[in-house]
Amino acid sequence: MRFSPEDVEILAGILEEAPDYLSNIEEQILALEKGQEKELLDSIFRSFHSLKGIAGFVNLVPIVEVCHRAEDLIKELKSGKRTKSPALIDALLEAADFVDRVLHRLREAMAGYSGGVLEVDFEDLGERDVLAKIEQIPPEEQKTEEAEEPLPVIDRAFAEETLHDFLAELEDNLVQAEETLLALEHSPESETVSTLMRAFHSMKGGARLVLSLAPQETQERLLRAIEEIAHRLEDYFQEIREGKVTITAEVCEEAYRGIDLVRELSRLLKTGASGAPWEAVNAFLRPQREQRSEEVRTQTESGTGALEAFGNIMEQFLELLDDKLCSPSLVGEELQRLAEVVQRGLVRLGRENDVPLVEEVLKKSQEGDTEALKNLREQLARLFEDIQAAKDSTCREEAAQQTSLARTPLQQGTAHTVRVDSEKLERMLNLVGELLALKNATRSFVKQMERDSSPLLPEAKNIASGLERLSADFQSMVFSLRMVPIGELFSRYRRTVRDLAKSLGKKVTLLIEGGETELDRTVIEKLSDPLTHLVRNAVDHGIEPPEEREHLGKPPEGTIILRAYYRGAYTFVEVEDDGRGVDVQAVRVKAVDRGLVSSDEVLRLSDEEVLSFLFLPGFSTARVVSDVSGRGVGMDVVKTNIESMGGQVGIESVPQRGTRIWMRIPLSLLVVRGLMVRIAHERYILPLEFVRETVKVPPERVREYFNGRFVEVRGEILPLVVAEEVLFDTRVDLRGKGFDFNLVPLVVLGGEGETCAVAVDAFLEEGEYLMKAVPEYMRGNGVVSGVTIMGDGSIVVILNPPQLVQW
Amino acid sequence: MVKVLIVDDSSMTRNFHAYVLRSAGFAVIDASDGVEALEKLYTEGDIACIITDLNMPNMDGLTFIRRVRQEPLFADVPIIVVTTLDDATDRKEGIRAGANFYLTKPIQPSVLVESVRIAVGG
Repeated sequence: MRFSPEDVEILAGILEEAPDYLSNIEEQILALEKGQEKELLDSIFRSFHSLKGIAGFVNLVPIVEVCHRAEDLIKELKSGKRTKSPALIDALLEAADFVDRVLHRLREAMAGYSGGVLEVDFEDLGERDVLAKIEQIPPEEQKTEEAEEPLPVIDRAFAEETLHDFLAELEDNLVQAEETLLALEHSPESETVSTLMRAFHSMKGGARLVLSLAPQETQERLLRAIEEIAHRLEDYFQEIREGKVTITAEVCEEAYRGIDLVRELSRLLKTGASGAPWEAVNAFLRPQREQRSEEVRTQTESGTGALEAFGNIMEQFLELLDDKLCSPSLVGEELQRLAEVVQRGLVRLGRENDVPLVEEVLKKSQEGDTEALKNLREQLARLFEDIQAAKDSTCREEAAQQTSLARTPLQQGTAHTVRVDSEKLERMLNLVGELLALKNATRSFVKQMERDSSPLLPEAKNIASGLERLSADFQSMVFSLRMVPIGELFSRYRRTVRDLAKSLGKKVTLLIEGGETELDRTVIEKLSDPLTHLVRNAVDHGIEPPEEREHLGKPPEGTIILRAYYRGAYTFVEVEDDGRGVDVQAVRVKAVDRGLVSSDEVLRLSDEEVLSFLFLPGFSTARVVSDVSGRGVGMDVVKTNIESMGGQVGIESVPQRGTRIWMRIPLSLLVVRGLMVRIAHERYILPLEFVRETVKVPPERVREYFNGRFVEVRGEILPLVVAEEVLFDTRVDLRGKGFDFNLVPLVVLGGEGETCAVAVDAFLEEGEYLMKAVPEYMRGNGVVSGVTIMGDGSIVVILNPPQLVQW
Repeated sequence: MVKVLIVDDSSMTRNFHAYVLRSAGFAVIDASDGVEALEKLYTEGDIACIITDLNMPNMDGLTFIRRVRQEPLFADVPIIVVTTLDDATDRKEGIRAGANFYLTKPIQPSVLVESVRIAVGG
């Protein structure tokens, strides 16, 4: 399809807004699976409807068509013509998926857009498959299931007979269509168009009926093609009837081609011969549509806005007049209201002289003078034709107006929210970083002034505290802009769970708790893969098949809970299932097999410690574990992803009761409160969350045992790590180091793991630093968690204490 | 500036229609259902034209139109109903309830603008 530059602007808007509707739709469809409330149906209907409407702006035919069919389904569901069935839900989901694919394709195309006409190909996105799927939904499937009646066996003979009847009727319809078309070519009348539409309509209906009788595969394909062609032709003439397309020689040619194809297909059905003209069928179904949209397009592009608008109103006026002529008592005020608008329209088109004609209509209608009214109606109709014929003159002016309209940039949103380019957010974040650096610098400056007893100190303190307050507010504001509720991510897994459970023959409900919990955008992105993994694992290995569950006295339907909540300075995200749990003993055995622990040691480890082996790379892929416990592949990836954000993972499991995997993620990955230290002439930052205290001890308190160093701090013996040794892989003599006052500055690290002392060269300052991620190769096996950029532009490394002391 | 009230539960549709009309020099106020729309009518004042969807939560379009027409203050405000091809009955209902005329979705931007211009006159 081709899009003009004006369309592209509108497309950009569509791409921004449509995803919201889509995610809504998917959730609602899944909810529909559970219960069929009228409100839910309405809501789904509206979503598809809105998508269709919006796509219609730029004639995005694939979306319009698919949404239209999906809408029909919902309507039929509402009216009771259809009942809910898995096939129907699937078809709706596929429709939503298809729209998603189209949008995706558009997004790709827009990314490379550099002006001019935008060409996008949607051919390979499976539109026909989706439409076919919708058509193929077996009618009343659910009903027969529920009634537990045996499926009616379709009598072959009956089916053959029906097919025979259908073919005979089809022939009649074809003949009639052809004749009508011939007449139409000579004198286009709306009655003739209706006859033609009826003919195509019966062909379509007949084909559907036969299709419902489960014909053989070859027949099915032929019937489907007939049905589709008839459907297209019917739609086509619908547009003609509505005046969207005018009848031309080409239009008739097209219709003849369709009729010929149907005739050929019907011959093959009758004789059972092979060699169907598939190429011609596809060609007919495809380009016709493209062309059709093209035609609608050129009509509007030629810029007949005012005229079209008036035409629409005039048609309604004439229609209402007809109603009035049929039943004079019915229509009163309506006519009056429309007449007003018609008059204004005439004025707008510079036809002031014709306004009295409308006045006359009103007058006569009040008087009930039917004869005069009939006469006036004819006059009006002719006037309308006149106006349409004269449209060429207004055309050019209109076209200019329209382009200027479309070129006005999208500047005013009606909603109270604004969408911000993520790049701008990123830049804002950099500003926060600079502000923080400035704040830190001011703080040390004030300290210096304090030492110097500067007379300007009170003033400087004022400025510094003002800056501090301001930067804190600004920082939290900018960060809040980046926060997204995790519910959006969580609800994506509804589909994953549903599809996977279905394919495994399991029954699983996904519950979401704390969906409103907000996390940073980047965190949400990073959680996506681990969660996919954990959710799949839970369905695949955690939840037992329904029979097994029932046997165990559990409800046949398993439950998976996705949960998020805040606790302290952390956000917790959990995946919990009520499945079979992990076999801890099997993990113990495996751990010993792998040489991770000795057989004595393994018995002393708590269950939780044992389970943490599952997160080790390679361990999880081991067959035994995935067979016995099912906690399968790639748990190490989960761990790595979470730890890359400074988080932690853990697992709890009770055999037969279920498994809970938790991920603990720092609330803000962005700002690190840290202690800046000097190590070998370089500055480093240690995050304060790991720092228990800082002390200075004489070097004599450091002792060496078996190649390891220990230090006594307030009566406690702590393992000692010399940071310089770890970072630069050297050996350092603490006595010869020449520390200030010959005292070794030690940072005592606490936190989750063991307490440990880290020797540095000097303590510098405490502050808040904006953390920037570093590429993988710079992480030095995880010792580096990020960097921060100082006010003077220099870069300082932020260390990751747990990794540092493990060295 | 001439004020137009757009009533539609689809924010997408609302935004597009608003965008189109604003580009054409109208002031646009919007509401997502009948209740909100009535509220806006009273609070905003001097609304020259109403464009409304029929299928909406809370208060649907037909009820909304009837309520507008019941209020002498708004008896003459032109109302344009926005419907789809397949809602033939709805349209008639809309006109009967008190709308002036309807537009069929999808509405081409130029047609929307011109329809409003015609509706408000001048």
